[in-house]
Amino acid sequence: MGPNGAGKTTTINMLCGLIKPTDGTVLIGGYNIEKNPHAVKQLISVCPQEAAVFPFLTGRENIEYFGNMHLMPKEKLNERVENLLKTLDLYEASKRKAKEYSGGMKRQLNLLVALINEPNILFLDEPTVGMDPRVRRKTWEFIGSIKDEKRTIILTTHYIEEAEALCDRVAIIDYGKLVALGPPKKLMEEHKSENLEEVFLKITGRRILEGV
Amino acid sequence: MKRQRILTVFRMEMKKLIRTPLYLFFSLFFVALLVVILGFALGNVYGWGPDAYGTPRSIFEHMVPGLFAYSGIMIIFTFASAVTGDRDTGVQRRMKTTPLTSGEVIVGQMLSYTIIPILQTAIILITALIMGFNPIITVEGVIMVFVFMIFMSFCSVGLGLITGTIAKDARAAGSLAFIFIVPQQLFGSFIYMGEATKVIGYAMPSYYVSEGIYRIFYGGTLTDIFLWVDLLVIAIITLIIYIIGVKLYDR
Repeated sequence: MGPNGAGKTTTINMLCGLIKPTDGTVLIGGYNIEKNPHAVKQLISVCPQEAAVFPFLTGRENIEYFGNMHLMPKEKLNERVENLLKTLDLYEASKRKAKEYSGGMKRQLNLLVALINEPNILFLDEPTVGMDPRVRRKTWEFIGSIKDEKRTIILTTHYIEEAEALCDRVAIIDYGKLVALGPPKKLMEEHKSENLEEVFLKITGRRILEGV
Repeated sequence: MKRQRILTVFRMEMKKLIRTPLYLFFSLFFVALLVVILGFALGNVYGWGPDAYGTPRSIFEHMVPGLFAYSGIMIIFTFASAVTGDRDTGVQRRMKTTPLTSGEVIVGQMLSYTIIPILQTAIILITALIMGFNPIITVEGVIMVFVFMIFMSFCSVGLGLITGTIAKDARAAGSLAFIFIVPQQLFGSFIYMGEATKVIGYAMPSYYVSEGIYRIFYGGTLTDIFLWVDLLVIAIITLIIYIIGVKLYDR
């Protein structure tokens, strides 16, 4: 979590190899992303902030495209696509081109594309922005079920409720620096707060008040 | 390199072409439409004299070899728009987080840009024949025309990559593409600008394609050494442009 411009997306971009860190090393699954990017890319999947899908491909074709990037066998790919489409109610619209989808549907497709390869580590950059409350709840349930499969999820969010519902550990960054890290309960205890929102405001609001 | 990924890129490129009316029109039908218009307007006008081999030709017939090259030039526009389109939607960045390699993208695209010039050539040739184009047609000659057009296509993909990488968005790419399109159109395709400007044509990739196709259709023989020189020059230009384009795209 972090205010706008804190560096959440930049952090994800560094972790998945899209930008080079100016300092330090990124290790994913024991692999150095700069020295062995191909090995890292087999382990991860990224759901970017914007709905990064091919507008002229159908929903189903978009998911299949990224499944093929991970060399999934055809039968397994078909089965996985079917299951994913049913999970978030995109099945009916799966034969329509992505450019005909509403904003919320594109966001759902964006998420499904990231899940096709059953990644060990999943990066979700504000995955529920632009979704209506009903779909957002359903997506949270879905992300919770992925978490239950013992996959690592690194999720950035502006929704305190989302972090409380989904995250085992919360990191708060501000001005590109990690300013808090720990399980939500521990953070609340440390900052004598009743909820994560208070923690967030105490940490990031102080800087605003101090005019930093 | 994995076949599954290459074929996926190839299929996606073909779907992009077929399902995007703007790309489809500019890639396959724009020049065919031009052939029809010029055929009607200049099919019976003989102001440019006989061809280089002494056969009387209408202005339209003089133009047809250059029109083949022109259709290849238009790929710059469609490809540059497609590259910036993928960048604007964020798909390009997303692809970079998958195991897809630059080599697989390039081979997949090259496959699709082998099919497109074959379709272009077939459509233009049939349209031109209907409109009164009367070349010397041999099987090996037509195959050679396809070879020239495939090189023209690869060259334009390279120029499209350069344009798409430099341009900030799809709209800018559309405008910027004309920096590469217009000079080739004027000095290396179907427009005759007079002998004085011919030297400028030597710097245009499309000039060698127009010249080569002219020799094939009107000379009718593949033993012409200048035909092979034209092919060699376009191959070298294509290689250089493609390497620059890929380097820029990777960055």
